[in-house]
Amino acid sequence: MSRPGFRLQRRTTAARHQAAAVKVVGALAALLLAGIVLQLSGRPTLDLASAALDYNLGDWFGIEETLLLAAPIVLGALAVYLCFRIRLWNIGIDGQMSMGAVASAAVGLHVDGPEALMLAAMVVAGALGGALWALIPGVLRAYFQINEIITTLLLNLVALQIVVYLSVTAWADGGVSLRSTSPIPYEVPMLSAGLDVGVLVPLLVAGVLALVLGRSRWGYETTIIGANARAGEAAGMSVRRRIVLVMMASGAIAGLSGMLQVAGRLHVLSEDVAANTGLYGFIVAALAGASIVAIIVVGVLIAMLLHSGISLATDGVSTDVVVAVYGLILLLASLGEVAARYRLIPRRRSRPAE
Amino acid sequence: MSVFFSSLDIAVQAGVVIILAGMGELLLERTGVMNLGIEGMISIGAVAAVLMATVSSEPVVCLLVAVGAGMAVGAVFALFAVVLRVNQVLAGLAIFLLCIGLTNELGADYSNVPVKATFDDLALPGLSSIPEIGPALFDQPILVYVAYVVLPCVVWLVLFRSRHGLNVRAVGENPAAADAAGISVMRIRTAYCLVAGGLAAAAGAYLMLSLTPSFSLNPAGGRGWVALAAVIFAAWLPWRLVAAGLLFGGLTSLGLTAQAQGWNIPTVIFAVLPYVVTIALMFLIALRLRLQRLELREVAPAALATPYYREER
Repeated sequence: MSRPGFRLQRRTTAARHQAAAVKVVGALAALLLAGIVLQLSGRPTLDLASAALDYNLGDWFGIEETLLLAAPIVLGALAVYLCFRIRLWNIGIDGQMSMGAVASAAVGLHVDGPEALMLAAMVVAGALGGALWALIPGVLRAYFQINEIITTLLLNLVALQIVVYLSVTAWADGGVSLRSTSPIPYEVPMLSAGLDVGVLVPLLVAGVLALVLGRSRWGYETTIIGANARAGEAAGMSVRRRIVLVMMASGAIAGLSGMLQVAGRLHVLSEDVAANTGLYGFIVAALAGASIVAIIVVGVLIAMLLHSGISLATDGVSTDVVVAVYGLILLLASLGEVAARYRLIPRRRSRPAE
Repeated sequence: MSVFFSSLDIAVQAGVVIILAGMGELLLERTGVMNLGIEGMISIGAVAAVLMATVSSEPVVCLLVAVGAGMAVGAVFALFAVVLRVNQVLAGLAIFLLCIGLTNELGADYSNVPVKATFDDLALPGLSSIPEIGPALFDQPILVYVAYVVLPCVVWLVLFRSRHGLNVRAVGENPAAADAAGISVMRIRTAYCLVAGGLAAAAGAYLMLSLTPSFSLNPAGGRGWVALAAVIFAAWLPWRLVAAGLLFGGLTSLGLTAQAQGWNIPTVIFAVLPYVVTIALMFLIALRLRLQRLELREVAPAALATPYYREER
């Protein structure tokens, strides 16, 4: 065995830098591949890319739009990240977001009160709506071993139908819009002409999560259970209860995000409330790995891509193309975790006896 | 036909999608691979059939092209999930996004345009002339008979009555032992990725060439996720999956019947019913197993969703 060169050797622990590097290369390769396909289908990629950059960063309006799209994606990613810590796959952010929106819209539409108090009530209702929707897959997973991926996905479909029913039928506006409720009378305060306070909430939640997971006993125990559930059990932690609690906390973040849509960007309850942002948030969490800072950065980048798809509709690129590109990015970037488990080592002239 | 039998007619047809796609998933999960891309693979099959139907009026040709497209997607999934051994959940969701994006982009121009190549009903001689039941069960497109009789028979025979099936199950239960016995884990898993892709695409093609012959955005409409759940509450057994498919079809048809009959029940109830019942059934099977002092994961293929590394054996 004396071929020169290198061979792959499996590591016992994952190299995180290597994973990050491979993910970046994978994502860039996905964009390159998508660019080639667009070029071949008669859409000049470089022109599109420069137009997209212009739409995103060219003026203050573009930046505002990108940030408005980024906020729910980052919140969703943080909710997914929290579940990752205990090895749960919460793919139901969209459903939890929708039910949070429903709960807060119920309060906003049907209760009268002073603005500040009502906004606080809507925040509580939104978080509660999302948490209760996440309670179902949490309990089914913790106590009955039912795969949470499938239940959360199915509950997304249920939540979407409920939102459609409420906004088109039960709470329908009846006049102005056929597809939404009448405007929610309470609005979160504005930061600028186009941005509301909601864009700061992801940063707040990120900070709280970093503190809770990194500095509290609860966070420490959660991390232990995620790393080795049996060890946690042996140390006297209730793994099942923790699974349900983490799922509910994750749902609460998603629900809060839904509330921010109905009391912020949309001002109504409509089927656009989640619009797959939870799914995009999942991609962000998967790409960002274990870093909260990376979640915020990747979240903004993914939102820029989405905003490009929306803005370039007249140039022959749609959000459908963006979704396909997301898939490609996730596919190629998923190699990161595998690559981190190998290292390249030089081949030796003769191998010692094993 | 009476209301009941015309509902049964629709139920039988609507169940086909779950049975075809679910059977591919069932086989693949038996080898230890979980494919979350199934919703996307159904969509690709649907759009491939629609595109092919613009140049060919032969439904069989459209079906075969769709199956080919689905197998190609299955091959990409296999490359990542089996050969490169990336996380199966991520690979599956990536395939789902890639396929759903491509499907909606490619099919956008054909939205709500009737598909020209559709399957004719094939009346079984004798049986189809039984009053009421005959037209509901024995006067259906050929894929209905394939889904309810041919496919489950073949899958059952292969899985439980052949050496190859034993190998398949061994790979899903204990890939290291199967490997030691000389079975190629990678080859079997890859092969069934193609089978699962092809069957899911066949389900999508059936949607467009028979059940609802016009393209709409997100043509799979959540049926892929239901098929995934159906595999669980069928406890990875082919005949139970057929029952699950028929049940899903029944729930779908219930909504349509309610609309046609003007029952005064909010449509949202029927819209969510298939999903709610699906979750409830997964819960019930877990509960039943609990009474037998078993856990769901003891029934599932033991190596499900775990990549196989020979060097960690």
